[in-house]
Amino acid sequence: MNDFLAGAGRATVDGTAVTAQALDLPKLGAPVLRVDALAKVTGRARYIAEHSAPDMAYGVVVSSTITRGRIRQIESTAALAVPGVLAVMTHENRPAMRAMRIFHKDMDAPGGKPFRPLYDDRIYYSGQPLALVIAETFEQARYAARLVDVSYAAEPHETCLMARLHDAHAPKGFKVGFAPPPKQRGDADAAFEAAAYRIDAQYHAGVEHHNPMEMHATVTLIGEDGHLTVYDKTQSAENSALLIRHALGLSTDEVTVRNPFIGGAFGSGLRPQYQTLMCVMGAQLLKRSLQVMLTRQQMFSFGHRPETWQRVKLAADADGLLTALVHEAIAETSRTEDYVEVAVNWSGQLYACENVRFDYRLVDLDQYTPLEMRAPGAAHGVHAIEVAMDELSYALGMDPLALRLKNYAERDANSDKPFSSKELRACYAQGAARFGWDKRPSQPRSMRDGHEQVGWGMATGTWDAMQAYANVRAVLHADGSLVLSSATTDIGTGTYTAMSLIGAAALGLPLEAVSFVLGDSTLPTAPLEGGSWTVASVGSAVDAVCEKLKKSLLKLAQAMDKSPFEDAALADVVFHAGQLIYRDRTGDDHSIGLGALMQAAGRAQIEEKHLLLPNLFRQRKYTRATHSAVFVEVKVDEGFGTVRVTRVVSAVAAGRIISAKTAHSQIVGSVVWGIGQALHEDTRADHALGRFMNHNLSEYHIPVNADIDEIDVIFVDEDDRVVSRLGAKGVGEIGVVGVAAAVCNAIFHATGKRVRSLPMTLDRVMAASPPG
Amino acid sequence: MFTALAEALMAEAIGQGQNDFKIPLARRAIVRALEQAAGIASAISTAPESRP
Repeated sequence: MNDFLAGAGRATVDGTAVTAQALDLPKLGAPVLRVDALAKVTGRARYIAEHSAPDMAYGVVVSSTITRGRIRQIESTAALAVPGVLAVMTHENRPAMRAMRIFHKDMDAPGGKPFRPLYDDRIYYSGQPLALVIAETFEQARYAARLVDVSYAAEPHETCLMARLHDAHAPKGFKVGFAPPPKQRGDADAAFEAAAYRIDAQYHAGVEHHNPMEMHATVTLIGEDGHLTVYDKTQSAENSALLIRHALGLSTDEVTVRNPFIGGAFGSGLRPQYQTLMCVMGAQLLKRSLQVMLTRQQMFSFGHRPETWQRVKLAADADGLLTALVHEAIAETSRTEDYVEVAVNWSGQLYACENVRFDYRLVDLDQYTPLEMRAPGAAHGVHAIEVAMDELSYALGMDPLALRLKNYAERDANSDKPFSSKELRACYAQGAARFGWDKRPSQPRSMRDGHEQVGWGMATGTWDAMQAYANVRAVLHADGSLVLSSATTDIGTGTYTAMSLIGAAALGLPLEAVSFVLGDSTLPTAPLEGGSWTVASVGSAVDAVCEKLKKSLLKLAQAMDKSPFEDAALADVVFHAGQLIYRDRTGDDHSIGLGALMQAAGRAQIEEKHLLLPNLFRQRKYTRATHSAVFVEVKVDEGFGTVRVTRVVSAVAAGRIISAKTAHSQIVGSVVWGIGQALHEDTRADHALGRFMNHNLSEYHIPVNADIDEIDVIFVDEDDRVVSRLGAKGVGEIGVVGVAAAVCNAIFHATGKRVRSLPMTLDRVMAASPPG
Repeated sequence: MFTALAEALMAEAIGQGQNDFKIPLARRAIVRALEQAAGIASAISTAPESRP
């Protein structure tokens, strides 16, 4: 050792030197606690509506009570007379807004003409915002909003998908992430007619609405220089900033959007919702800070998972080999935009079949444009194919799992490409073993527990493994702290934790020494937080920028006088416990503390940025997907039609798991959502009024603790370096796909009744006819 | 006896189409509640599960 190595063997963390042995250094895949847990449980994590200013005013939205037509008049006199009321903003007195629809397109907008809140007197759907009542207090605004009297010129409307199936049309526009149905292969209809074993069934799923705990809200703070700082419930601060700038004609310097903590969204925040522009316009109108928070009822007045009708035709030979596969879907959209999602393609990707035909069409309704919700498209499409496969298994007298294995797709026949990785067989095997599938009696109605019939069902799940661009800045300080930043979002899924963990593991730092800053439109760019791609995208950028930091540190070390690191390559050195460690050719170990190294180099900090761009040339050669096998036990009281999900095993292959605890939580949460999709969630419309009726959590049912029993999550070993440099594919959506189908299949096994509509409420279970 | 009682109690119930299922559901609920009160049926099943 020489003087150069002062600090060797010691790591400095928060200014305190600690030995490597004392440090609990995290590794990728470790089940670390959420780094933001303390902030959340102590209330220091401030959600959108918790941001305020001394001059804050409050806005309450007035919603349309008709579904289609025009506003004749908005009478605001009574509302304005309420003490504390400052303004009633309508299409007639709002600040200037750009007219061209192109300026209202956000990053997630589908094809068509986006909705412009308070633009004119046109009414497109029930619940459309018509006015914003602004007052000194929320209570004053809420009271006054009830006094706003709107008169209408109503027009006939159509809101019922099932009554309009005959009007379905091919999507006129496309959107990011959408792939049209694959081309027909072979002659599926002829093969179907010729087959000995076949099923032809229709499936229906009703509307579901996002109901995150935190309702959508926007807070606009006006700085002394007029700068707008907008706290917005969004899954991308950059997306909201883009819409605000474009729609209102503002420059980049005039608006900053922040969303440091989001209380759930799972699709509802992919597009800035109407309260965003209304809040900014209201603040502009009054030239003071403003908060607009939607009510729970108004959470049912924008995007939703679209009602979808599907038909699946399957045929097989006596051995269970699929000879025909037809999957058709018709979903609802609005009059103005063609919301599209991948619903039918999954069938051709999951199962090998030479004769396939797919179709996906839309029906225009007087509704707000639907919106992505957890596993959009797959949650419906995979439900239909997986229930159909179960139906076929009974027609064949074949075990449902054996039928899936018989038709296992080694390649993606849709694209004729190999999978970048696919451990679905391992999901089946490990899930089945954990569940005890081999003990399942093949006949329905074989198991009973008191009043309840017991059934076991299973289904396959799949979701895209995607990667997008992402830019991350990293600043390593001489005290050993690492600050990473990117304009991504944490909607509660664990972004803070996963990114901190990746940074800590890359540089061999304790987790406590790493902080991740997100939720600010001025930070380095990141994609929308959705689609289960954040770890593969932003996480890979974190890993890459840390590699740049390591190179910079090694260069510093090599530039030192009499440096023992002179001949070291990056691959030869290890960053561990705040030290740079190198074993030279003679076997001697050399190390230096990073803090000591930076001090010696006269550097208070080292900063690097990395823009990660997916390697499309490599990725395009493969189909990249996550997979799962879901096994479910239900108990059905046939007297009442009630269904209890008493056991779930979800075996997931999602590449390398980076943050085990938050990944596990994502899957558990998604399974719960899948149970909700299967049994509870259903927004019912009165089509005479064209209005959703159960727009509250009292009548829109979601699973509660009493509905949830044992959920066992297995992460199957998988490592995919095509999808990401980390080997991660991404978790989240994959957890919900297949759950509803597995529940449906278990209900059939319990009762012999096939319920083909979601949710499988007690009336539908009671009404379903047993076979034969 | 419980079934007859439930039939009598629900004799004048009229469904409105979509909620017709609630009438037999109510009959069954009455019967089940009376059975439980009489100790004929347990409120929560305690029978050993018949898993294979």
